[in-house]
Amino acid sequence: MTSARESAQRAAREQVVTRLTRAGLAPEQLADIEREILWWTWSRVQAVQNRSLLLHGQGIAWGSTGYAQLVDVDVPRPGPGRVTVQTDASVVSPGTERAQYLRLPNTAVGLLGRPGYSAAGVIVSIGRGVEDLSVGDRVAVAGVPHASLAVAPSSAAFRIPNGISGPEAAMVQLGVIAAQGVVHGRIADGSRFAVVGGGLVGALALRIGIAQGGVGVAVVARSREKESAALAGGAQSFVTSEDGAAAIAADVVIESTGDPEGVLTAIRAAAPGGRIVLLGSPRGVTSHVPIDLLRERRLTLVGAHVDTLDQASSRTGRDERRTRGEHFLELVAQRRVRVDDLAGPAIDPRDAGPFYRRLTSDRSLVGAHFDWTLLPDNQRCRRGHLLRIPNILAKGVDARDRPLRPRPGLAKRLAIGDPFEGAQGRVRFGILGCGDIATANSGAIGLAPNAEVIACYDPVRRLAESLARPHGAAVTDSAEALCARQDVDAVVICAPHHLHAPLATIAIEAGRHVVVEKPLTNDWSSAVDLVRAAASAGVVLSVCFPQRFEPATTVAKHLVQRGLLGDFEGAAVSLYLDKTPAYWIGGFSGRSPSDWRSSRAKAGGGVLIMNLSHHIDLVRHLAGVDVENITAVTDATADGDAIESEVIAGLTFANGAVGSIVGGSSVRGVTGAELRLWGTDGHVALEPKPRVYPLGRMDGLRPGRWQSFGALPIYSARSVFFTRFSTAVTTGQPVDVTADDGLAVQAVMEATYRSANSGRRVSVTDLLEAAR
Amino acid sequence: MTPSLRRSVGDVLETIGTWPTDTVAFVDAEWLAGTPLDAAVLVLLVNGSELTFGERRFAATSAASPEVLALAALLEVADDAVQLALTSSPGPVTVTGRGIIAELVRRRLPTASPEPSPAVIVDTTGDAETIAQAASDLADGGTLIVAGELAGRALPMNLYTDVHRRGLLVTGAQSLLGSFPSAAAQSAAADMLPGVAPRYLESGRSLPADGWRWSRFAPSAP
Repeated sequence: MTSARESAQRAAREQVVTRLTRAGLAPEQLADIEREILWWTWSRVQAVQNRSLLLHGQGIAWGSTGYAQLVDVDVPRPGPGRVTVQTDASVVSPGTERAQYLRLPNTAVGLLGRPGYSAAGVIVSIGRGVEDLSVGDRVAVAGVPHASLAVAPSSAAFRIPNGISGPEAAMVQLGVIAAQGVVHGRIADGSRFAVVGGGLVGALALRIGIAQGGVGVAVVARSREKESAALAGGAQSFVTSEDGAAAIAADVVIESTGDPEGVLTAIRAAAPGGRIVLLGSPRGVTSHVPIDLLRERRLTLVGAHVDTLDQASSRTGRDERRTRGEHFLELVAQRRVRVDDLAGPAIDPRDAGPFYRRLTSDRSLVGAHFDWTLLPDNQRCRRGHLLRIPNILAKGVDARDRPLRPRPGLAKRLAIGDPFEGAQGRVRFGILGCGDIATANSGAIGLAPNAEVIACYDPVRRLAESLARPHGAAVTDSAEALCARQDVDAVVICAPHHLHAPLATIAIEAGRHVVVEKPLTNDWSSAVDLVRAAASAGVVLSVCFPQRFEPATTVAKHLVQRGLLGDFEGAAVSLYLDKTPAYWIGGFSGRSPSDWRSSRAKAGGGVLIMNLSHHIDLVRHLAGVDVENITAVTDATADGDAIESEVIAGLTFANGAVGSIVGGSSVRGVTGAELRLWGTDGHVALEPKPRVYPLGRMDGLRPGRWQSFGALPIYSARSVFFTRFSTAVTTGQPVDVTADDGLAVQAVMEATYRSANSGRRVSVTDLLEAAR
Repeated sequence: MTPSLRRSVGDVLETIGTWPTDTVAFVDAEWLAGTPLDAAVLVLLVNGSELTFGERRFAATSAASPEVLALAALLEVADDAVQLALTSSPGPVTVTGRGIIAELVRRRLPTASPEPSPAVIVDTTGDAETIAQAASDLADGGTLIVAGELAGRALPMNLYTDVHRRGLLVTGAQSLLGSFPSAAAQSAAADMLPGVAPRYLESGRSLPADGWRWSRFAPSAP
């Protein structure tokens, strides 16, 4: 029956949860906040009870959503009979921690979500009544979480014998666990024993068993990934098949896999009358325990969980855990049990997120340890404050519009230097088409240190004149006349889409380099012809995708190149525009009235080709992977001249990643965009606000936190585009946006329209291959 | 087809398979309890001095009656369970089941009374739920001895909670009819038989109410 107190507590909690939920926090965040507050409160209650100060460090926490990260940890200075240790290394038990991380059955990490087994370090503080240990002693500590600071009973702290490294000593708890297999198996001189499972606990059991005089006849595993560790540990054979297991006939079989069906393999590997020790914790129900076989072969099954040592202690009256721990360290010190090769790679605790994610799929890892010495000293251990505010923000889940501010100097560390640096040459541009976008492009060229506008043409002469005037440029009577000018090095096509190909062709035939305002053309076949023509003429053809050079994009690209995403897994693009009726006859400015934007024959399409082509290019640019297939729908019918107002497309990429494009140009009341890419190790969003979420530590970013890019330099990305284009054509280097890039974006748009018209999936790859 | 029995609607035992002349079947009450309606019941068949239990078949020269031979075979299982129990722990032992094997184990153990957390439980039911409950009832570090017949039934177990975590030891008494019953077992069985005689049953008659531990079945009354 629920007590009044419990009811009141539940009601109070529901009140808090309701208020926080209304404040916009996700359920996952609530659980993490709860954990943080519990830990925060516990440490302070302990500190007050002990009348002691707090120490502040870092620890690894697993959140409710399955992420791992480094969090602030306060620990009280130790109470009576306890010690506080600044850890150098904490050992990872891959099998168990993988199971715990994956929340498999029969696993628990506790309310505080603090994984870990044991560690080694130096005592920084001792409580009253601790007589056999002193501050400064190197100790191994059993039963403590992965953290830079740990508090433990002095009975769980073992002075480290000389000659043992921190990572070796940190295995003390696993050594105690593994020794359970040896003790319960009654392994002694001459005992023929086998171990099922090649993980860390199994490897330790093998080595301890051999040190006790047993004969390690075999290790049985599912694959050969851990064979070398098994053989290095003294196993006489390594078996991967069930038939092979049946031939082992060991007196004792230690089952260490944790696989609920692993006991069946152990039973096969045992000789009649043998003893099977359950050392691994089975993660689920064994569907069919073969009791008949157990009886027929006179086998005995023994549970050997480490907690059963407490039963033993109550029987013997001595601390059996301590006895086992001391014995293990003694064996290691005497080199009767070698563990240096089992300590595995040193993991930077700041990389806990990607490490645990990797652990879920990488079964080759026998051992690993967190190296806490990699953290700056002031993060590992410093004086804590009772009044420190709990850090409850942005714990692993989408913080929406509240990313953390970046650490000072992030942009500098990310090498966002002067984007105009290194400009070479001086390229003279002619502009064909002097409407809306021409003003942006001519302005950008004017700002570029190595480019200038020298000629303009538009059928509406006043537009050409107004554009040319600020640059002191000439106005020509025709496109051909502009392209024929010997002082024109390159031409920028700023005309309606259906004129891109014909105008660019005039320029190419005149031997001019060409920049086409996006898109390349208004249809697929003319785009292919244009790219071929440029290649044939030996001129540079580029498409104006200046968003690649926005400061945030530059930072994002830098981070992605450094491995932010890990394996690219997905991208999402959405663009919502509420275009007014005036737009369709005059564009955004009304500078050049025309209805070409609402004609499919002229524009080639609607919001996809007109606006989303930028985003498609950005996704390709950032991910470095091409779109392979598209399935799409639009609101436009296949016949007729109408363009689409709405488009939704599902993408698959060449590496298996998936993506989505959602666009609308008549989304009433909204103007907004989203552009995000994510992968196995991180997430980057450019819109609506640039921010990044790394699982690992890189370039000063904080793992497991959404964070913005901070104050980035302000400059014209379009001008950077023209500067870099000019440098490239001057030096003969490839331009940033090649004709093939333009064609690839065009292929995505073409495939989208074909899919929407046919109702079928369309291969972008096939389109591009046919074009080559 | 090996002769056997099945329990039909109305709690009537019927023969199935070819039933050779002079063959009698012995059934532990637990074997019947664990068998669904219309399925073949486990039987220990005795024909002269030939004993058959499932795939196991042994014959030897013996003047003992079928009842003595059957009881001797059952007694060897019970004795083995008792030996295992006595060597496992000096503490109290609980025996589950109401068949003849349970009775034989109880008779041979010094203390076989129900305890809240016994150190040893001998299960003679072969029933998954009973075994799981037995594991749950055992004291931490206790021993579970399985002496019941599972007859191919699955025994799902959460080995983590039921065995590993609590440091239990699980073992089994020797299989029924691992060999022809020894002379010593036959002699002991002959002495015990008057006190534990089987209930005689025949085809087509309804099973008696509770209270019987094992039965001797023949197609016609002896």
